[in-house]
Amino acid sequence: MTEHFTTSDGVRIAFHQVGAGDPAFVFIHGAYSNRRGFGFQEEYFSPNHRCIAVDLRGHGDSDKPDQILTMDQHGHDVAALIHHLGLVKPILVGQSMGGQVIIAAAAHYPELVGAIASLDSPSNIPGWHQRFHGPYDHLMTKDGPFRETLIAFLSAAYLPTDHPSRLGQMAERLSEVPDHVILNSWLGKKDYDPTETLLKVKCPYLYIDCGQPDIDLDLLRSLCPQLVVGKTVGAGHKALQDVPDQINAMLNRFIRHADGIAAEMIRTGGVFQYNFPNP
Amino acid sequence: MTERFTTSDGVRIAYHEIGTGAPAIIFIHGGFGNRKGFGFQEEYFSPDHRCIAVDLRGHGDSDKPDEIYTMEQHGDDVAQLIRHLGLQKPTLVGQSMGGQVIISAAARHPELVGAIASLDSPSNIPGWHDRHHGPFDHLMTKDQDFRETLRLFLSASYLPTDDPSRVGGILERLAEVPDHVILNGWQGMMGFDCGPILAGVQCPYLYIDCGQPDLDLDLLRELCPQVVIGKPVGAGHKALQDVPDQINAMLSRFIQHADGIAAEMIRTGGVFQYNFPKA
Repeated sequence: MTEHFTTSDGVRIAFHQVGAGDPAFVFIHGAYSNRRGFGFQEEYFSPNHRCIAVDLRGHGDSDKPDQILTMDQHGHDVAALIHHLGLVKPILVGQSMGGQVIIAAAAHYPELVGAIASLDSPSNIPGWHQRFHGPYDHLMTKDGPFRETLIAFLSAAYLPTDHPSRLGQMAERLSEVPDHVILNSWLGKKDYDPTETLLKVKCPYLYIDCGQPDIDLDLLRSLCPQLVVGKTVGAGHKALQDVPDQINAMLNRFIRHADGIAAEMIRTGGVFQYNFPNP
Repeated sequence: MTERFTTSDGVRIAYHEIGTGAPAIIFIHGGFGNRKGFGFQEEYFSPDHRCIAVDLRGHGDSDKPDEIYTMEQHGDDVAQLIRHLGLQKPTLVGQSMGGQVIISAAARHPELVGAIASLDSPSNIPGWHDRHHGPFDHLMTKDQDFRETLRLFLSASYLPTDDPSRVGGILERLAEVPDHVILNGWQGMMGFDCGPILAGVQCPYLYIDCGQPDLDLDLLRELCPQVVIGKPVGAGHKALQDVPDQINAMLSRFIQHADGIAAEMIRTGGVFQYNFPKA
């Protein structure tokens, strides 16, 4: 059932929830998407956890004000949702751009967030966004071919092995997104640099790598030494739907031992170290 | 039920099997281990796959001739087991040193092996073995306290967070291993040069990285461009027992799409590539 709450600046945010139990999960979708993509996770976790999925402002059933949609603003909205529902230290799970949203929430509201997990969110690594999204900035303007560019861009997230119908569904979803949302969302990440945000993230942090190119995880670790990395087998950007058993098992292990895993990562510099004795 | 076959050089090899269905899966333990550690995998895969677990020569219920146990010999024994059982292109799963055994089998008997998966087998990466095991070599001789060295060595594969009774369990198992097996096993591992073997591995190959330090996976990929990497969350060298749901989900995905995944790895250079269109 779709529920709503209103942010302090008057924007109505849509969400739904299922299940009960702590810690709660808040699932956060990627850019130009909506909260409907976490069905496998809700099915797996709802018997033991309260699961909430939210439409970010500009997306899905939420209001779509004509304003630049920054990652910080999305993070404020997630914090407002946590307050609204009275959640105690929930786990935030963000797919793709949702990864930028959860680090913003964790950095700005450390008292509200228990742990975070980003799924295939390469823009969380400083410099990646400029290298891979920057070259399209000049096409993503109201006078440019922004819709065709975006479709080509998002199509690239599907694998050669994916069924063509999935591409069709993506294009259909995108056709329902207003022009101003596409442009505002793109502008919200123009010149995006997560460095300062990451330095403020102190809670346990899982990064699930689904095979993006040019991922400098050492750089991410230098900013977040508590980082733990998982890597899925045989799936790409759509791993949530393609290999939910792998993703769910990783998330489950992480949330059960988040503090212990974070401590071990800091202690060993990012390995589960084979503690060789001194010869 | 323990079954046995006799190799061409007269060594009796013990194994057990459960389940039916192709491809069959052969599970191969690590150095100084035995075939009893794959219970979670047998439970998960036996409804759809014939599952076989084998004691390598010198281990478990197999004969223990006084000879150096080379990885090549172990690989040939696995090939004879495949022939003995009439398996069609089984998947070989090797934990730790079992990883060296399966690449030997795949390189020396390519017509018999469908795909291979090594779990936390860092000695499959050229140079790792010399750097991390080499310093102990001079202590692993019959004139030294080689049992104490090995005890320290194997204890180190448990995490600070592990139940101390588990470390005790390995010591109990080790007490049953005769001196000549320890020394022969160590010599066999130390003498192994994985580089030329890897260059001969042409079948799909999954490497599951459970967090060993100093892993040069790019070097592995240079020799085996078809290699695909998985990384579980929150477990170390004992991931088979600690996070079986993650390991089983990765193995299952790999087995179901081994050829497609291998082709994608070769095509993209090791990523499930986000195929950015030309800007």
